Amino acid sequence: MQPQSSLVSPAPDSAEQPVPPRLSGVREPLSANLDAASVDGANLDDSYLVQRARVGSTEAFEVLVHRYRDRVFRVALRMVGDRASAEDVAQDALVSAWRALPSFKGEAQFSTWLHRIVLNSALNHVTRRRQHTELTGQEPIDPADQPEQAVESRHREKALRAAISELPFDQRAPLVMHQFEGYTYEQTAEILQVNEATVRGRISRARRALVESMQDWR
Amino acid sequence: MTSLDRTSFSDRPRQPERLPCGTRFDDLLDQVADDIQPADPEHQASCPHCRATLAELADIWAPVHAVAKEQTPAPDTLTASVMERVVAIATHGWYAVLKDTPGVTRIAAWVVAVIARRAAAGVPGVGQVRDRISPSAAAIADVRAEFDLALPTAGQRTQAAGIGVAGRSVVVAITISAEAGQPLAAVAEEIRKAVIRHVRALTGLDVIEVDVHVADLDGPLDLQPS
Repeated sequence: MQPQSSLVSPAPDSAEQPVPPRLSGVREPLSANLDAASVDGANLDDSYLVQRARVGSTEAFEVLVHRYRDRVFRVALRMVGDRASAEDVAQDALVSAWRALPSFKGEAQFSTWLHRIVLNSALNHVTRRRQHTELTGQEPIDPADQPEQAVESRHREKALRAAISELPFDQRAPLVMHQFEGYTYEQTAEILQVNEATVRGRISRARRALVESMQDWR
Repeated sequence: MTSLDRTSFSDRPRQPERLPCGTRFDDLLDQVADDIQPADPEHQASCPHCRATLAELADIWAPVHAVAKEQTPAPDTLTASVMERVVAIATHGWYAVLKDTPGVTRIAAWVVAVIARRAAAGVPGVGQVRDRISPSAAAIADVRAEFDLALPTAGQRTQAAGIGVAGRSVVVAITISAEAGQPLAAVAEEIRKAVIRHVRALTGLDVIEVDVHVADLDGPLDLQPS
């Protein structure tokens, strides 16, 4: 087949054509089976995938999405309280992460950075929602939710979620990351970009508020 | 009070700062919440105030531990929803070429795609350059909102679907059919050289990777017995 067109004048010797320099740490050989890796991602570490995604590889980013989607959704759910909103928050957070990847310097772990984005996305959602519906903390409970012996524990868990939703955001975020996601105080402080003493103080106040709220449901 | 009434925080009796034995209430709460060993186990073992408070806190805090253990998988649709938007952004976002001159030059991804496709089509041994699956118009709605773009045509979306952009960096994925009998590895390498050269010359962008997918062969394949 003959060449169909030439968009630039060919050089006398194409072998001498300048090739863009390799970006440091970027052009490692692709995994031989990136598609398979996107199913479980077990054989590719975060830093490699982040480097690939930073330069535009949507396939690499999809592996990261697959790897972190449950954690992202869980944090979103615990921050905003309902599944539909949590899905919106999770989706916005992951898309925001893609947009922000070029500015991700790798100074923190990807998971730390991603959780920070999720919390910011949740805060934006809560702020927007509050502009429409100001919660008083005394909303009536659906009669269908009346405690019965058989569903007592489930009912208390529902009451717990309501109590968490009533916490101020600056207490809710560290509580969710430490108490429910299992991050240490130090890691939680890194995610929230505050010092550890501040995190401990906020979690302590959140716990007290929950205890006082949950006493009503015993 | 019935269980359906919600008592406001201000109406509830506050927990004391310290128990009669002098132990801080928050220390016991942290002990239960973090499931850690007591700082003074001998005292706690014999102190009725501490034991009663710990028992109560363990009961109150039980739902927290239960909820913390819950497995809450993301909806099945989450990954697809995210990736549809991401692909739309990657392929339809604009990117700056020159920032060091007055003003900024922006080039649409599908323009790069056109250059890459034509460059690949000009390589000897290449049959057809195939279209790629295109993201839906709905998926690029937020791209339009962000960049105040006109809605790309279906053709533009299709052309750009194999292009990933981030800043000045471009990743190109091209699917071709090759002429039967051509050494495929050599054809792919020539495609890479051609795409890198043309895109760089015409846009100034850095093509850092060209993925070549050979999906089919054109023409009869004459395999001679060795």
